[in-house]
Amino acid sequence: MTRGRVVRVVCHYRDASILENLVSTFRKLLVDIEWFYGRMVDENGLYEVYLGVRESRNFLTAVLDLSTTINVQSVEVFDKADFSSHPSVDGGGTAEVVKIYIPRGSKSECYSWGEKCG
Amino acid sequence: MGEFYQVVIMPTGAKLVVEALRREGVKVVFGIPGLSNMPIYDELLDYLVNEEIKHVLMRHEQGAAHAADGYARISGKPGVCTATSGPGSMNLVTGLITAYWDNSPVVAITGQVPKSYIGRKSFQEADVVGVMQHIAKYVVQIKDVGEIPLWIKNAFYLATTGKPGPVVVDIPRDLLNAKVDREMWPEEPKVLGYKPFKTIVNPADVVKAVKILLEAERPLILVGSGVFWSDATEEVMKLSELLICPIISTLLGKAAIPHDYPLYLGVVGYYGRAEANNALLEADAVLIVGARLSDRTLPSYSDLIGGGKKLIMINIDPTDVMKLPIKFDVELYGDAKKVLNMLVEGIKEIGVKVSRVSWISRVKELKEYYSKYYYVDDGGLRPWKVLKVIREVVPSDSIITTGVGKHQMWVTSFWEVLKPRTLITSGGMGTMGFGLPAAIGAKIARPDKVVINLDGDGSFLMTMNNLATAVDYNIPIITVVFDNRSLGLVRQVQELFFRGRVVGVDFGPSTDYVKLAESFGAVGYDVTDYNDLRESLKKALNDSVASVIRIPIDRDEFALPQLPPGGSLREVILCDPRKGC
Repeated sequence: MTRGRVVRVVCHYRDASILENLVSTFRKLLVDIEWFYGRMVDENGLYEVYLGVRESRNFLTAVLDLSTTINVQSVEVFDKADFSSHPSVDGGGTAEVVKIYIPRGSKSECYSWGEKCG
Repeated sequence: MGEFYQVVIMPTGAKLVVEALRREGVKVVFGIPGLSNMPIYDELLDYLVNEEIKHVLMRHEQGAAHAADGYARISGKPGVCTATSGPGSMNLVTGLITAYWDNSPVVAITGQVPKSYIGRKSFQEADVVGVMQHIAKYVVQIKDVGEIPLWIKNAFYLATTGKPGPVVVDIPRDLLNAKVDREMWPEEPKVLGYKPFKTIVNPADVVKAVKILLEAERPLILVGSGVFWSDATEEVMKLSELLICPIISTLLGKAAIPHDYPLYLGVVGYYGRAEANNALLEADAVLIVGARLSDRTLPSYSDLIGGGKKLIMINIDPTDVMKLPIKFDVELYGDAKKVLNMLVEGIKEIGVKVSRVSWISRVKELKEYYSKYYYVDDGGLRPWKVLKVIREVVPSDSIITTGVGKHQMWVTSFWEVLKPRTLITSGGMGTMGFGLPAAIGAKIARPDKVVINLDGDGSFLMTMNNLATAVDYNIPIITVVFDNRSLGLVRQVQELFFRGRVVGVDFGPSTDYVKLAESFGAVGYDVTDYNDLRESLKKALNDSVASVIRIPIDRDEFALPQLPPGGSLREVILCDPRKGC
């Protein structure tokens, strides 16, 4: 389990600055990120990015700022995520494990450009 | 018989940039050329010769951004600036963040080193996207020459819709020089993952808001910059008249309300008028229009919470409201002008006439009471009286710009705006040096108006090199320098809140403002009393070149009223505690 909240951002990729933007939105508000990963979900550059974010009094502000960031379609917040473990490509010892966090049916909020969604 | 050839000139990326600007209706570009935006200038030359677009050569890129910002705030249309790569683009940063914080639509076109040089610490290379994404509404780096028309269109779309703001288009030099087979001009912008905020108002909420405002005994309207940007002055005034409701404003909202309106009480907040602060504390219903309630307007939220005050918020951006630790009784999201019209119609429909005798009487009492603290005239040139003299001499529709410092706070408290959209100042970022280049932009937007930069010595000296631009381009702006030989506002904070330990703020006698003005070809005036000021100003109004009027101000003159840092509106400091007040 992640110790904070899980944020799913659906965004349009033009260049890697979108990822910088997502992360720096939390950084600017002094919110720590425990992990993040993302993937392209269609041929037009639509991405989904997941971030595990520590609880913070600035959390909502960061989510709202993200939801009005150009190229971001929507931001969803989940209360929890479980993870599954996978061996790393290099294999080796037990520490060499990649954890994939997956939100588990507990979506509490969704924002998109000033509107609540989902 | 000779052969005939049809010569087809393939447009370059630079040509696409300039033609795209023309198609967006751009009339003026503020900038400085350098190696990486030089192809744009090469193409711009034809448009300059044909007088389709004007170019204004600024003396520093910060000035170019402020000039574009000033142009935008006065014209309501996007201001455009350009800079070369590296130091040129980086010098735009202060100007662009100033525009961003105050929601001003600016489009900046920056040249970048060629794509093959990027990432090698090349000569004059800077990571424009990396830097600008944090200080502008959006930044895009062009990847292919064919994208240029769409992204210039997108830049104007993003800059002017939703919450306006600056947009940067960064173009590598090889793409500016690259040629395209044919020009493709998009009819519509296309930005994925962007939705301008909508006006979505539930009629029941309008009714609820109207009911609150009609039933209130002490209603108040707080006007923010959203009223300025949506040109909603008329609607606010109409609502105030119908409700017999006093108005207060933020610093940027001040420009939206004519101060000869008897129910306007002035700016609220950190350097606000005490009567405005008190009215906000005493009101039982507050309609906030186009204000995000920043720490400058409301240093302590506790002043608005509790006490049974009913709160109505009109804002274009719902997330501005969601971020506040305040519960509003009614939230109305949308363009201020449209939503205010709904309220006006709602009140007319109900047709209830209100009487606010005791509230209006109380408001007048507050105004009169605090006047005795403000308008003290005990020798020397007093800032409030200097501003009064200027107000008496210049036309009512003169445009005022300011720098940042004590003089800005005196303007906040004492300058009388008589026509909407005639005061522009750096509100959110508090950028020293804003005044002069912004005045250049304002004068180009409205050459028919008198434009005056009310500045401080510290602030003026930060961008005064642009005086050369004003002279070269025959832009007859007037700068009035409140010269207290110090970084006066910082000095004041040291005096009041750092136990009088004054450090690092006092200037020596080094600058002669008359000689400085004359060295640029401008006219300089040194005034010693109010009559002198009056006469110098009259002469300056008739000067065909830019002028500088230097006014000596006592270094110990405080900018009051003010609150202690982070303090409550109840804690207003009205007079100088060093004088036993």
